[in-house]
Amino acid sequence: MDVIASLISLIKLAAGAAPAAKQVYEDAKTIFAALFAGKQITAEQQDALMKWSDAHQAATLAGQVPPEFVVE
Amino acid sequence: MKTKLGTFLALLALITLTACTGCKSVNLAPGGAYNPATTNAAGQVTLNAAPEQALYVADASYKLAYDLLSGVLKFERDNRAELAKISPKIKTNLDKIRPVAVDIDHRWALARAAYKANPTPLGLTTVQQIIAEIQRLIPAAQAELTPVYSSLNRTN
Repeated sequence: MDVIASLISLIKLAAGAAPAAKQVYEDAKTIFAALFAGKQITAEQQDALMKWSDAHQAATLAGQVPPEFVVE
Repeated sequence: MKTKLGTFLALLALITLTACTGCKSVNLAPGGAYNPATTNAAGQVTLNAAPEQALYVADASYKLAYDLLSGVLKFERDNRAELAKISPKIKTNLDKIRPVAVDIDHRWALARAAYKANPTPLGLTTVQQIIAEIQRLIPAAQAELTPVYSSLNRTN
């Protein structure tokens, strides 16, 4: 757990310095807490992940490609 | 820009941990999308089916890896001119990753859709293998940002 806590602290510092990365930090924190500390994933967190996954799956299958993935 | 790069490099280090997610179980609260339940008038909660632990871990792992990769590619795209002055080949090298990522993403969508429609161990293995593919792209993307980050460190 010390390693995980240290990692989380490191990420927290980095994320705190860059608000744009906060969502990635939150996602990482959630899954690490669930996997390594046995923390329960709330219904709301589950719903949010399912919503993103379903929407991303549908968009990808519809042929949508975000601009950052396009070779210009 | 230095701060953003530092953030991405720190986050990219996480990918080594996400590689082990396929072998872990998670505690899913009843009533969520991965652990559907019904609550009757007396407040008793009845689970509708077995929790979709494997799908939760797979989805969480994929989203984390995708967001990390997307973040690097977006960072390069948004700061292209400035980054090109520091590392002229960064766009060229990341352009090699972009079509690979698009292909992986498409195969992930197909595999996930198939698994949701018919959840079999083989289907889950396919999804997990594709997740491993996108995770393997992260160090390559990181390698492109490292010289830029080093250069910025030297100049500050």
